Amino acid sequence: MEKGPIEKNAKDPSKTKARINLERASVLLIDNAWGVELLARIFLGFGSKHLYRCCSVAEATEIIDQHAIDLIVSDAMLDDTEAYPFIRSLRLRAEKDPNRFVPVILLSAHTASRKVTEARDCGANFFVAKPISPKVIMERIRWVAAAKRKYLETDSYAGPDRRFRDDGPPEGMVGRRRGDAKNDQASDGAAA
Amino acid sequence: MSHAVFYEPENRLAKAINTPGGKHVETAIFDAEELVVQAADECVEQIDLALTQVYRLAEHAQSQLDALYKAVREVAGLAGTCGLGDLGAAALSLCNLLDQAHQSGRLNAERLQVHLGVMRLLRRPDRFSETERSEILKNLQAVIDKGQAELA
Repeated sequence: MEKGPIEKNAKDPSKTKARINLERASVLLIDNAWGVELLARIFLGFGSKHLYRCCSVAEATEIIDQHAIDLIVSDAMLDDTEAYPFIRSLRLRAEKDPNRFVPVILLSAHTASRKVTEARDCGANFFVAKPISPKVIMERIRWVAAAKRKYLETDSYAGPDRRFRDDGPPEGMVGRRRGDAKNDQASDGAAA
Repeated sequence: MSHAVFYEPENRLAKAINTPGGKHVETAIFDAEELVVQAADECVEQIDLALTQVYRLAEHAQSQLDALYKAVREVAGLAGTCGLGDLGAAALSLCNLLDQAHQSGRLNAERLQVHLGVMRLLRRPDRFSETERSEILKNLQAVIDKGQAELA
């Protein structure tokens, strides 16, 4: 069969002189056989040296039980099941477990409407739409590494705080968060 | 009152990637793209395998909805990586159609056939101009919008 044309991203997408060192980071890649091969190529290009690759939740759990992982990149739909329960179980591990707070980037070509809530609530740090590109994966890695998001555990959710912005309490309302009083004081001080 | 506990764990990833050494981000992306491009032939082979499965499962689509969805999703996820972006867009549209079928409990066979036909056409994108491909995808979207309106 005829093959389609390959378009390579010729331009520098990052426009940055920043460096990234993935040599020491342990990265777990989870996807079907071909997907994990593609991800591995991307991470090898990035300079990764500690890659764990697997195609199922069962294998991923085994790896997580034995190694401290610094980043997980997983497809949302795996060979044996979906990744959402696996990510949720990760966030509910013991507080001292080195992998409880590991950043997770979930990949998905399409999310069925009945799965949107589950996807939102599973505790992943970011979703990336497939098809993937090295540029987008790199952006997300740097974003996850730079993020100062806290992890939150409530009765119904465990994972990174989904509130990206803290604009303080609504106008005219008294803040209820621990940090709100400080914000009020700061803005009062600025006004004075 | 609901229970909420905040944690501020050490960001091991940040610590690891900021150690001296490594690559310039620009170089890292370039090197990764090189490795992806080298795998383009294999990528197209995988797409063709997935497409074969899609066409086979589509013969019994109503009873194979989940398996069909999974196979189409595979095409949608891979096609753009090896220069078959329009095929990927058509596959994504078919994902939406199958999602609608899951919601309504009924798959519209004609709309399915339209999608399969378009996917066959867009597997050979060089046969059409960019404008023609764009028009094909626009019409496919209209098919999906019609189905969505029926669901609402």
